[in-house]
Amino acid sequence: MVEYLKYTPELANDWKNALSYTKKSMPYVFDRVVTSCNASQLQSKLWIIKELMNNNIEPKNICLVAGWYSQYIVPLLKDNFPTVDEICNYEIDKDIVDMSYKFNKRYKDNSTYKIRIKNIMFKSIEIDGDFDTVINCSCEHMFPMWKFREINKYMNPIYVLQSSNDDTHDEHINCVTNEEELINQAHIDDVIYSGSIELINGTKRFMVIGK
Amino acid sequence: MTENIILCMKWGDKYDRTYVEKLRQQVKDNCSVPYEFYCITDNPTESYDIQLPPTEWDLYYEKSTNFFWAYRKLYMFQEWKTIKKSSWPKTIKPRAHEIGSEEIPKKISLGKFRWTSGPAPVPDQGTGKFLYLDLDVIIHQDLKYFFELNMENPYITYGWWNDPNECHKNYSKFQSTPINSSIIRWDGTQLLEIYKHVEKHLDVIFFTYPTIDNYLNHFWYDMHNNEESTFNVFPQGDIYSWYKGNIFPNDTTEKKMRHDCKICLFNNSGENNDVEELKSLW
Repeated sequence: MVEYLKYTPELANDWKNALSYTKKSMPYVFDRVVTSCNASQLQSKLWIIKELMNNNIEPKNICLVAGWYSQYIVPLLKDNFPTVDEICNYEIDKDIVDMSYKFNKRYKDNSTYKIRIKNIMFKSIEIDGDFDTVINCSCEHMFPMWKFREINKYMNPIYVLQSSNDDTHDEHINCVTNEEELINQAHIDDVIYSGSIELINGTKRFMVIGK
Repeated sequence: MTENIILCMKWGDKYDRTYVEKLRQQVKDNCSVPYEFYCITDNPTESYDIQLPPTEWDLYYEKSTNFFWAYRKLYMFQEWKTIKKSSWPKTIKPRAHEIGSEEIPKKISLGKFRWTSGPAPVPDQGTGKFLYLDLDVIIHQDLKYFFELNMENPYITYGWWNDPNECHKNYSKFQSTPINSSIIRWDGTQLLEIYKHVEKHLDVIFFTYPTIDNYLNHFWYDMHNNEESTFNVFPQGDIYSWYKGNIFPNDTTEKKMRHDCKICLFNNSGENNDVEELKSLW
């Protein structure tokens, strides 16, 4: 059972530098960085690790969809799964790049963490690598995941998908009310895990793992 | 036939015909080069009106979200050609759409449309110089300027009145776009690629982007690198906003006439109050 993030000296150093960089070079994103660090964010990511472990899934090459700064999910995956080789974060916002690389500098430096600016609902990721796991913790922000599957038919990864019932944000354009909806949206036929939790912020989060 | 084409769009009932007539008069008073004026509309009544054949795009417009409400502007970017009324489709069906298909009507009847004999305003689109103007603008200076721009790239309005940091911060939230489609200038088929992109990705685009400006900002403009953008932007001081000012942060006084600029926009206005206010300034 994983209930915490390993706050190692290396992580502390990267995070300190990331926060200093925010203050110095991108003060306008400070509020967003704070939001990305909140308890619910960590709770959601710990849940992923827990269920991957419970279901004996050992990811190797991971496609992270809309991973934002990824300061939680990347170290959690790296620390808990020795099998993880590469994590590639697909983002649409170029402003993410510098900050996310700062937070995860230790992994960027050894080339195991990459960010690619690409809208994955429009372009295939085929040329970028062979991914065995696709993690999307932001399904509420985008078109249903069946589209991603349709344009990436060449691969057959395990999908780890999270969404929310929190429709109070304009950018949450695709909230769901239960895990079944998430399963249907992604055309998951082989459900390995599905469930929901109530987050510290009071919203409900849903997760599906499957193919 | 002149190659300078000035277009506007009147769709639905947000603006009545007086807006089109007023814009037409403003153009007449402020354009010293030959031009032809057309209005793209769903309800043609005048000789300068153009009505387009139905497209399946309407089927992807979810009225309850009010998303992408001005998508019809994108019709202007397609290849212009005469389509005989007899060859217009009898019904339109959405392409295979697996999720949410129950919310999309299976077809729309053409019975609810009134058609004219079809558009054919530009015999050679390749040499056409297009200037699109929203209906809610006030023209201060000669529009000749827009037809003399270097058109290596098409032009779109840049909201110089916005705080750029807000635009960056809100990029993925689909808010505070730096560009604005109230005034667009393009040559020939320069923007055909955009039309084709929307046509190809209708389902995702209509689902995702709340406005046409958000869509254009995400795909055809790069606020990190103007050089890499499809669109060029009109320079500072050309176009300003009645409700937001001219240039951030030093010239942001709202509701101030700036006759040294070329055009005033009434963007970002409230739902109801802009109409009467603009009329009072005509």
